[in-house]
Amino acid sequence: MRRPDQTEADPTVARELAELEAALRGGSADPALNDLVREVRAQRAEPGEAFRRELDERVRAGFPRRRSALGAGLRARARALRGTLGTRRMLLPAMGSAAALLLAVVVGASLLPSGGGSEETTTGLAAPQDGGAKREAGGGSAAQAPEETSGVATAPGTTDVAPGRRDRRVEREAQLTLSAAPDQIGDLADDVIAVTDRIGGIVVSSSVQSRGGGGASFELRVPSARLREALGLYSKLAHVESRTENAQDVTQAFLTIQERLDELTAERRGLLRQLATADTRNQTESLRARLRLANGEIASLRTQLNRARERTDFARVAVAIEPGTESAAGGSGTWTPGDAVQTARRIFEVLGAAAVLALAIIAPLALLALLAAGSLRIARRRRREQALSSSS
Amino acid sequence: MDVRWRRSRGVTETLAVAIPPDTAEEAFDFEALYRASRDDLYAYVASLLRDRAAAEDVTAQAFERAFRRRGSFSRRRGEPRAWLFGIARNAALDELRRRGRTAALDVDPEDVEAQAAPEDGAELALRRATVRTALAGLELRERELVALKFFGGLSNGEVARVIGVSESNAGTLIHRTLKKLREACHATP
Repeated sequence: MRRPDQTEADPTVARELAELEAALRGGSADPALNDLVREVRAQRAEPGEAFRRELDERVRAGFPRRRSALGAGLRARARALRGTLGTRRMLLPAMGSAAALLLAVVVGASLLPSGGGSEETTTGLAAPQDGGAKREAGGGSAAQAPEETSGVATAPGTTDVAPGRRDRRVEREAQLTLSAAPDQIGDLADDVIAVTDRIGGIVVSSSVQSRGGGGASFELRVPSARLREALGLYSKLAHVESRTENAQDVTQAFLTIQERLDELTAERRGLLRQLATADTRNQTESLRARLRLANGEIASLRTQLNRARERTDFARVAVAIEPGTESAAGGSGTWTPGDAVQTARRIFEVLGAAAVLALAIIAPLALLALLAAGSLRIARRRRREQALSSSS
Repeated sequence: MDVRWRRSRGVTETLAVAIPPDTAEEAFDFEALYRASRDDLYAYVASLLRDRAAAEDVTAQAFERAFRRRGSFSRRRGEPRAWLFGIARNAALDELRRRGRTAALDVDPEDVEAQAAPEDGAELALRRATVRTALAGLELRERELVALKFFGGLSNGEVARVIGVSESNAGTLIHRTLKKLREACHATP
């Protein structure tokens, strides 16, 4: 079976087509063909004069839109936008790329680890019934400490880990590592002590070393209710290298001691009443012995209770000051070429990651758009051809 | 060496030369195209739709579309005339799809008859009636080819671009249609 294309080589077909072209130009050697062309052309429909005039007028006027004035403004804007985009189609890919790049930068920035080398982690309360052990937060994963994912330390005074229980007793502790230039460590140590005094805290111990690179460490007690404020103030003193917070709910243990103390106090009152009514020497001696035991246990429990209260009323804060570079020390404000290079490198890293993400977003979208456009085009063409066939 | 850039001095005249647009190659005279194609395009559309009013609407619509899209025209895709006929074809086929049917022949037979002068005689009238009957017996695709070729005056290459086939294929289709038309004319008593 011959394909239509193959007939082009047929000399008869080629000759007859050439004859037709000649007849259409009015000069075929075949008189019958000339007649046919003339008669077919005589069948040609001619537009009416009114239509010609109207169309001429519209062409001269540049096809003004004949629509309501209501949507004219909107249509004009849409036309202007279409015109801008239509005449500058090259801008479309650029605009799409820019949008995808922006999206990728946002996503990339959120995915990249927070830089600067400093750590700020917070560990939630570890209630005794959940294992009791404190969870160390340093560099912990998100699975270990969900609060870390936000990158914001949970406010110790507001963390609600035992809802429904009033007068919770929570032991809190925090470790803070600051870095400062070696010649500023002494001043920074003074500032740490000053802040501790200001918030009603206690300096349990302090150690400032001036030899070598220098450094300082402090063991502090600050009111638990003001721990957040204290950490904020310490953090403002210098560059924070790391910050870790732990909290442990000891309410149950506290209540156990309290209840035992209440029981012993009641038992002691009972023993005293029995002692007042004792008749025999043996009864008296026995009751006195039991009272001594009760008094001893009560004293022990009160000591435990006071210690527990002290641990929950005051948070333990360990502040360490380490020697760092000049730029790392807060307050110096010096911007060195090294910092600039580091920042530039960081920017290029982010931009590179963003470019990869943008490519990953743009490429499939562009492919899908191309496929969709191609499919629509083919479908529309087929529908039109079907209209041609069905109307025959 | 002290090299210093200075502003030009003593310039009393500025010669401004218009820079031709990059798309100059793409540009064409729309009004010239309109003047050369108006009646031909109408005849082509009318042969597809066979409805005078619809043909006027679609012809006007095609010119308007071409006018608004003239900036996107590229000579790489053919001559403006073929491009215009392609637009008209799409508009006409969309109209056919909308209607879902072919309207009855509305090309006024009286007009055709009137074109034959009384002195031409009955033979001419008969010949035209024969051709009209033969044309009516063609399929719409074939009538379209006749219209593009006889009314529009398009070359085979332009016809190919309008209907979306290769040039050789278009030639074959035109040849077949012409043969069928001639046979129909001879067969008509």
